[in-house]
Amino acid sequence: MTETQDHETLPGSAQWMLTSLEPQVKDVAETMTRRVQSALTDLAGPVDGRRYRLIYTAIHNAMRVFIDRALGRSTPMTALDDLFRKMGYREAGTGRDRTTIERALHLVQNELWDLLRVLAADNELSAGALNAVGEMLSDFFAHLDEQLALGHESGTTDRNQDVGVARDRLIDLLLTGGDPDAVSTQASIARWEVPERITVAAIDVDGEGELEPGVLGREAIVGKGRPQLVLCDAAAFEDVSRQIKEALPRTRITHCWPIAAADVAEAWKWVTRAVELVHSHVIPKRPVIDCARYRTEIWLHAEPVMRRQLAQELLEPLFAESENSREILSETLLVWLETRESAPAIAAKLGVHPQTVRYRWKRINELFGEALHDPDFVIQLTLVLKASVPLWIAGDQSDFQLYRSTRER
Amino acid sequence: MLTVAIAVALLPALLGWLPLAVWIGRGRARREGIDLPSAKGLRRARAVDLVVLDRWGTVTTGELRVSAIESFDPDDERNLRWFAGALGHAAEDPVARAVARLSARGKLTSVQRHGGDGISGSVDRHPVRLGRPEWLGMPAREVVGVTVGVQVDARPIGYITVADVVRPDARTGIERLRAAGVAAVLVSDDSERNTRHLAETCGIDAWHAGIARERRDQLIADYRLRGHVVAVATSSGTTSGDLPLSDSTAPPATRQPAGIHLADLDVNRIATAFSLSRSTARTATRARRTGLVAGLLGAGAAVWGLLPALVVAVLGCVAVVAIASAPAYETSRRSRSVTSTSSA
Repeated sequence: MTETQDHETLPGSAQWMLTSLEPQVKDVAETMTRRVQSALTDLAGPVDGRRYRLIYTAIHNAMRVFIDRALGRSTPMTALDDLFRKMGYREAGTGRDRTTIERALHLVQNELWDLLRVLAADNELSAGALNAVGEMLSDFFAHLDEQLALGHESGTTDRNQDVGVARDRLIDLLLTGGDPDAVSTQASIARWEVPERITVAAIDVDGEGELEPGVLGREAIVGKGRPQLVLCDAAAFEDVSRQIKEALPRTRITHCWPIAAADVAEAWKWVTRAVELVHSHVIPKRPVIDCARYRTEIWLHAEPVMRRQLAQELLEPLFAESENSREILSETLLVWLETRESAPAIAAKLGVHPQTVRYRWKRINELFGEALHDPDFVIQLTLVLKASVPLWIAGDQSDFQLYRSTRER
Repeated sequence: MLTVAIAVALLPALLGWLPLAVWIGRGRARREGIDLPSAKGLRRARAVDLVVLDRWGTVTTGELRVSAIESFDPDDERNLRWFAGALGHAAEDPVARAVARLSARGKLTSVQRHGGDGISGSVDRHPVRLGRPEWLGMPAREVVGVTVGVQVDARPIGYITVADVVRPDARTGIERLRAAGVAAVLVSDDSERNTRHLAETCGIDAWHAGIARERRDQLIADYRLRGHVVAVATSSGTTSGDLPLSDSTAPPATRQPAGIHLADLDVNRIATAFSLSRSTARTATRARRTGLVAGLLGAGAAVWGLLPALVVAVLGCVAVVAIASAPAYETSRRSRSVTSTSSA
């Protein structure tokens, strides 16, 4: 169907029916817009919203052009075709396929056909006349569908050449361990050469907005979400870090040690875990957190369920103590397990009198007894204490609540 | 000529009236850490027949000392000493001071005093309570002294008993007072059991337990009503009684010229003070009489000529000086020997 195409002439009764429909186009378009928005959640939105206006305009214009052309008026298709191609293009720009927009088109076509059939029955239109209208309607919507496809194809092509999109895809590939060839292709489009050694960093912003991708230039690629991912050449990390601080002075940068591209996904897990541990006060809050310094904590908190179960099993004698007693005994026990030093040395570390340490040690021996002579038990105890004590000090009571609820059952 | 002879002959009488014996006696007493009272006080000291001894500082050193440590678990004895001693540093009462000597100071927080019950606080973040066993829910202890219970981390770990430090020569001092005709009465703010034990240890027959300061004045008044001349020895100072005995810790307002002020209220020093006061008063009287007799003899001799009068006057003066100084010296020497015997 083109602008210059001649139309088959509809029977007079059909033309009369379509003419009677003309004054209702506005109301019918509004009703159909609402139906489309309620039937397709991806297109839902407020009545006065931008999306509503766009759908309404498309339906309204399409109906007007269809009626004009059915009545033999020489209305050009150019504007309508352009509108539908743009819609297809925009859909591709958001990264979606044509499914939703095509469903909307079919919905409108069906609704319109139903309306025409009702009108035909009311006006005692002949079957032949109705078929002629139906064929014209099918051709018209097939043409519109074609325009949508053209627009979508064009949008997809452009999107595939977009640096920003390519960087997002590259990040997805690196975080999911994607195919190296795909990584290479996207890196090329993204204009970011994947370095041999990469530093993975997380930008933890406290209400300071988001780091714009362009801020870091070509040295780093920036992801979306919170915490925000930053990938850069390990050798350039200091520069990148400085640029981030200049852009967002109050942000906290948590970074991993240099890793290979294949390990980006794992490194991102460590970094995000470190960010969580900062929030739960296990790792102290500092402007820049080097994960290399907190490898043990990151490792020990990789299995939170196992830690909780081990704590319930190994630290049961401590859980029966009062909160204050539990805290100071576990703190002393951990220092002793880590250092194996004398009472005065431990006392100096804890800032207490040596006799206090001896008293605590007597209490610990009363609580744990012979188990403290079992090397396996001591190793597990050290690990679980190292993982748990900072949590308790930070105020996490979940271990004790679980212990109490288990005892009550 | 005759007038000159009579004047010379009366010199011993004049010398006898001078308070030579008092001056010499005061000098000797000062070396013993005793300030003798005025002439009025000396006369009162001669009449005293009963001395009220406050428990603090007279027959005891005035301090308490830990006499027993009982930990429920033998391994906890050092912990008991450490935690109780560290908390004891936060209180000022004699019991807490005695307990505090068990250990060095520690990191103390959240210290609270609970009146007569005890004290609580955190030592190196461990909650510790020190006080009456009943307050801590622990059985009371029926022993001589004051027993406090100790709780650490809400667990009782043992008892600490503190008791008076009795002066080693207290019994000797009481005997010296008795020999001088002065009966000793012990007054204590402690329990009946502890007061009785202290009195028996020191050989004191009469004692009064649980006597606060207000009741002590009433007690002294009762003794005076019964015809006793009462001396009162207390470091807290008093204006009641016939002869106050005070030490350097007594409030200045309670120090009286007619009282005896001592370096401390050691019962032996009190006995010495009585001995010196009495001998000084006695010697002064004797010197006065000797001077009078020598003066009269000299005046008689003057009638016969100047030379005999001069000889009698010289002999009379020598006699007065010898009498005024000799007894005080002997007394001083005796008191020193008692002290050294007690120390041995």
